[in-house]
Amino acid sequence: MNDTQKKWSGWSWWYLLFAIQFVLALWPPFYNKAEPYWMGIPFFYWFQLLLVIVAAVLTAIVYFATDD
Amino acid sequence: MQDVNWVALTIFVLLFGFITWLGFAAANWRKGDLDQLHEWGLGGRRFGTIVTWFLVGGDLYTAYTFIAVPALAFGAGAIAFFAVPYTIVIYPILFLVFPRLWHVCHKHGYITAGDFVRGRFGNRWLALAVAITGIVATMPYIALQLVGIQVVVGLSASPARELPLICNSQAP
Repeated sequence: MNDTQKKWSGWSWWYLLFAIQFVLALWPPFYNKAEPYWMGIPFFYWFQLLLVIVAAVLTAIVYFATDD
Repeated sequence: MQDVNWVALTIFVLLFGFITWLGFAAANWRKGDLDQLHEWGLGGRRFGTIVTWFLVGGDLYTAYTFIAVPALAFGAGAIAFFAVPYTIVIYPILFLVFPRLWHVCHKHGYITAGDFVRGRFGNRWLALAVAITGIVATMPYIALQLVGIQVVVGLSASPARELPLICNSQAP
């Protein structure tokens, strides 16, 4: 168990990238608005769908940065 | 039977038959000893990245995702978008927790969450509580999936029927 914890419990500053998507996703007042529209879609909808892609990119960055 | 959607029904029956055949074929492919619990429950811990990717996808994107959430969006509007931030938040948490959980469980031979809790905290009552909570919490979700399957089958036979899943559950 000890060597397992030593190998897997390491903190990486790259994990702070997750804080970006946490704050953006969990703070609805920030995106609870219709303007600006994009291709006729209100900001509320296209921002969240864009955030899915941003979150996937951030997760990929963290994965490759912490992959050792 | 006057308004049967024959195209949808044919596609459904063909897919259903193919998936059923695939299931029986897969049962004989890389066959494991099903008398062992980790072979029966975890596929002998031999799932690689691709299979696990499909399993996680199948866990997350269920009848609820494809029927209930769109129905909620159709009926109630933007409130249905709770599912999007939920997914954005939950994936990084699993990203951080699951590899460690997998590693520890693989090393010590744990199969269920109860096994892990018992090994980690050494309290079999806590493990029992976790196991019972898991079973009880899964039941309404299974029931929801069955209702979803019922709706899918009903719609493919008769597309004029209503969608009854609006506001049915909180589970994703």
